Amino acid sequence: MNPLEELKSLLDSLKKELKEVKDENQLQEVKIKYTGRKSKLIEILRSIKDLPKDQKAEVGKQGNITKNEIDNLIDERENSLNKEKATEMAGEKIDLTYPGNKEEMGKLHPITQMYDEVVDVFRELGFTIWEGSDIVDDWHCFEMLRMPKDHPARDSQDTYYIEDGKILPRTHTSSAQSMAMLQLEPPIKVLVPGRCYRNEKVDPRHTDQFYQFEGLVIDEKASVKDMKATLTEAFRRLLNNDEIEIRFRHNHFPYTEPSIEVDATCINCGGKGCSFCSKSGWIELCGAGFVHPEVLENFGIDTEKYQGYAFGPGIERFVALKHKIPDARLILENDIRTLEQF
Amino acid sequence: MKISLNWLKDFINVDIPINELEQKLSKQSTEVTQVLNQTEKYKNIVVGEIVALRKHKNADKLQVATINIGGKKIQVACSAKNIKEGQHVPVCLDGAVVPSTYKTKEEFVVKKMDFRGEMSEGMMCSERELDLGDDHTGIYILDENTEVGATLSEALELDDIILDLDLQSNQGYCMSHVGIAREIAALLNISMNWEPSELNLPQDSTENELKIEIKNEDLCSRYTGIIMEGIKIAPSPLWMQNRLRAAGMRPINNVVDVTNYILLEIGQPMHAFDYDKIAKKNKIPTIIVRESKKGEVIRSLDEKDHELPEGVLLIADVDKPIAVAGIIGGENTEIDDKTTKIVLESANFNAIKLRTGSRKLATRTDAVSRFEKNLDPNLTMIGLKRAVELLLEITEGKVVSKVVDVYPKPVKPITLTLPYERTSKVLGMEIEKETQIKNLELLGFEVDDQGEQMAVTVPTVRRDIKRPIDLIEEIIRIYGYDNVPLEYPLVPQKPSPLNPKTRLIRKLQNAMIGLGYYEIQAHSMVGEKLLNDCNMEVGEHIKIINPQAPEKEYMRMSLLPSLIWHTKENQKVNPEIKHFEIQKVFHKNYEYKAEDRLDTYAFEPQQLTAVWGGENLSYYDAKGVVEAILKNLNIENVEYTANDGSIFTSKIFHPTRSAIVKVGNSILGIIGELHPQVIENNDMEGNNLGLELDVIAILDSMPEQTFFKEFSRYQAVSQDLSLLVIEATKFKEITDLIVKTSPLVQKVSAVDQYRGEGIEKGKKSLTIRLVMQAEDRTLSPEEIEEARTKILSELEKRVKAKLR
Repeated sequence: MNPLEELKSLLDSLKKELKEVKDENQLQEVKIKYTGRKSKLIEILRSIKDLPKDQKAEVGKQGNITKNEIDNLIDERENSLNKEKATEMAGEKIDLTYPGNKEEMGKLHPITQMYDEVVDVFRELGFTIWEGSDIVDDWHCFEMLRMPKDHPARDSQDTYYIEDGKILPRTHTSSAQSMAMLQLEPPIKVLVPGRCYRNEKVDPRHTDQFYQFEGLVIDEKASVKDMKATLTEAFRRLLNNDEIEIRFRHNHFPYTEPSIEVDATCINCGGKGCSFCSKSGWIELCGAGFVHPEVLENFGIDTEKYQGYAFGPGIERFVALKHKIPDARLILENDIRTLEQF
Repeated sequence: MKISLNWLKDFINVDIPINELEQKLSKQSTEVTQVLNQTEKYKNIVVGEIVALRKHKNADKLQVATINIGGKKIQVACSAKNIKEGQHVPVCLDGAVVPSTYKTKEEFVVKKMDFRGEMSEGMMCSERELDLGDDHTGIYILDENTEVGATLSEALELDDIILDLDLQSNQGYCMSHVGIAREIAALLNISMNWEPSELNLPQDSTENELKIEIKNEDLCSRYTGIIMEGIKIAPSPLWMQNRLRAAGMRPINNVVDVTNYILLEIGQPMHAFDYDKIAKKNKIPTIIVRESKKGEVIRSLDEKDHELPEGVLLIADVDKPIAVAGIIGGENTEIDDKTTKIVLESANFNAIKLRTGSRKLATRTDAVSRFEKNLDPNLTMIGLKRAVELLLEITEGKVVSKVVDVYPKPVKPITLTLPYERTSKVLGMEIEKETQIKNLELLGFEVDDQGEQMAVTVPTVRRDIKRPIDLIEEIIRIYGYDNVPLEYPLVPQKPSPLNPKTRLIRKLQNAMIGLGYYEIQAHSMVGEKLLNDCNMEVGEHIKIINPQAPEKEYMRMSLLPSLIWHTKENQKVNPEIKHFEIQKVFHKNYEYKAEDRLDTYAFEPQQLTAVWGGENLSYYDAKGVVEAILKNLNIENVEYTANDGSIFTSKIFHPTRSAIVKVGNSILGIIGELHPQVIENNDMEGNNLGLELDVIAILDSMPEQTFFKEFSRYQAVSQDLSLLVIEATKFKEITDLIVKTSPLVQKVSAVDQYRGEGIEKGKKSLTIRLVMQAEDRTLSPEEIEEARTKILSELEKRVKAKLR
């Protein structure tokens, strides 16, 4: 065959082979075969210099045309392959609703989630997180808080007892006030979250184990006004609602004077009154008050110089409010069907 | 405590809407838990006259009454036996709400209905159903002068509004209508129209003598008594009955009602004895206030027999106890229909003594709830005078003795000094001197302005006011917390870092969640059965001496048992559930000294515990979790040694498929498969694993700081070696040997271990992966081969390991 014929047959066989090409890899092989260093085309082009003079120009010209043609054919086939592939991908229908391959994360108990939130919010407000013992003696839990034996206020705190009854699992985190005042010098601004225990019948509103967070602020300038601002800000953040109003009501606790009950606008009805808030529009959040001077004196704190306030909300209350959990027992039950919801 | 608005109107002029009053009281004085409007309560209940009565045609026990309800007659079926023609009765019409069912005390709505073949268009009610008394023996028969067709509210003058108050333990001064009237007067800034009775009681002996003897004046600070005779026992007037009912008390007779009226009006509990039933000595009745001797008995007015323990405060005559002081009267000296002569008691008893006495007798009365709040002894005379005044008015009786008043240590008002600036300091804002004075005066305090401060005379009724701070509270609450503006900034304080332990706990929480564990918040108390089911004993657990249930008798020393219990429960829903808990455990501190305020009775270390189950789990799954956690915390040089029983919870774990986790000399905890017995005892699914790590031990093992280490960027080559080794050969021996043999080996990891079919007995197959790398060059194939050969020969020589 003369070179011109060879070039022509190259094109013919390329066309045939391209038809057989099914994918990118095969195309690549064909491309190498027809345009690579060892291809027939290159061989022909290299041999031009040995041709007779009259054929040189003709073959050279035809060689370039053929090379372009080969490149075009391969490009065309590449394009059509891409199109086929796109069509094929578009045609594929996987079941997007079929579950993903299993990867599982656990969750924190809703109480812990709220606990962490409480810690964060009060730290933002400048409180130091402090820790108290769960098991305390009568003095820390009651006596130093002006609740001697037979004090009526003890009636509302049914107590579990240990040993001869002088040791007990704390009934409130207020017992930690003493540890803070024994160990720290004013100014004091601490938050003590932790478990408390009361020997109460477990019902939809009460559990015999619960969390409180005791706040204690002792400072020259700690005031009722400051307490109102602090608690309003903290509760608004915890309930994730800047609109709610925080209301102070007169109350009595032996260890605070003045003593205050703190209410918030019912977050369920916005204060209109619903079954959640017993139609009052308000929900009780915690007891609070100004630390009684006798309590401060118990710890040698100069009451002429220092004064302060304390408060002790329950964490479960916030959990129940946040998630609308109707029965306190559900929170302590630890049923996975509850836990995985939050 | 129930307060009648009509009664309050005797003393103050309330001219604000009731809901505003309710709000004000709740915020500034005492919580109003309910407001009850009697007109609303007795809506659709009318006075009817029974005009005809016949047997029900289908039911022997029922009668059918035709009742005139004023211009209209209705038919009502009824099972009560006490009804007769001509009687006036309360009738609930169709749609009326019966205030209190006789059993559950719940409301229910009367509906016109077919009563076994006879139409019943309403319902006749008993006293109890109408919430007017306790009687449920029959229909409440009304006075025949009541107007037929009138509403029950009109007929019985039940047009009151009743406030139910939840008083605080220091609000003894509020436990009466006068007390609440004073509070409202202060809140509304209005005047109060009440003065103590100025009745003159005889001071000289007249025809009768009365002796009063107080054995211990600490227990009875005052006893005031007087004798009256010519009493005609009868029902008290309707207005008095209604006020008692409104306040939740049942009318009994004029004498008893007056004593109760005084309790409700002034807050002084009183008692009346039948003079003739009191034993006399030389014809003189002697009232003795003394403590009970063990075994003494008394039958109280509520017809209960009490065998008294020692030390209950009693009122006795010369022969016998006649009342439990301040708690309840005795039946033996009860006022009855024949009583004509009485001894009136108005006394003050010790608050704590009465509170404990009331508990011992399991008897709570309106008197106790007042006495236990530490009443003012000066009230006894005020109460007695008012009682005599009322008895003279309604019983035809007269005073026949001098007033006997044993009051050894009269209580005098105290005076407190309060600088005005102090109140403003507590409030955090200026509160004017005039406001401070006015607020206290409104509450009945006498104030003497001394320029920079005030001298305040505290009325003796305010026994809760002892220090200047108590006055500050009074000033502030009358000022109103609503009037304190919401103003920042807060108390400035240097922000402190989160303590390292809390920070670690948060990391651990996140790690566990990431590994797929759900957190549990289990109870801190456990029971003996669960401990036993977990191969543990009660032993040194801290014991609750008054537990609610056997399941909550001990403070837990390990979180594992409760976690096992909860995991087992949740395995019923999801057999592959993984749980963890980070909490305190409680270990008794044997060095505890009660007098050291900083010492604590228990050590309360926090632990990280996890329990999970599954079909193909083994020790190595537990270890993998611990390795992941510790690696995440950059803890290195962790050792896993045999569970030799030295850990508190060792027995919960499989004896050989568990390990104690150590870093240096510090024990982090224990991990592994749970003991098969524990799994069986607790009915758990599949194989189960556990881990228990001490949070502080983890914290102490964490490097304080971690510094950057240079690493080689030259290509690393990995090589797998499948070895046949003696079964007892430990992975760690092999890795130590390899690392020692060739410095090129950067890491040895496990690919697989296998024993059983195809492997001769006493041997195991171990596949390991070596990663070889140099710091300064890419390794040549020759170097790699050389290292490999050397390693294999060392392995064979030292531990008889051969390439498979």
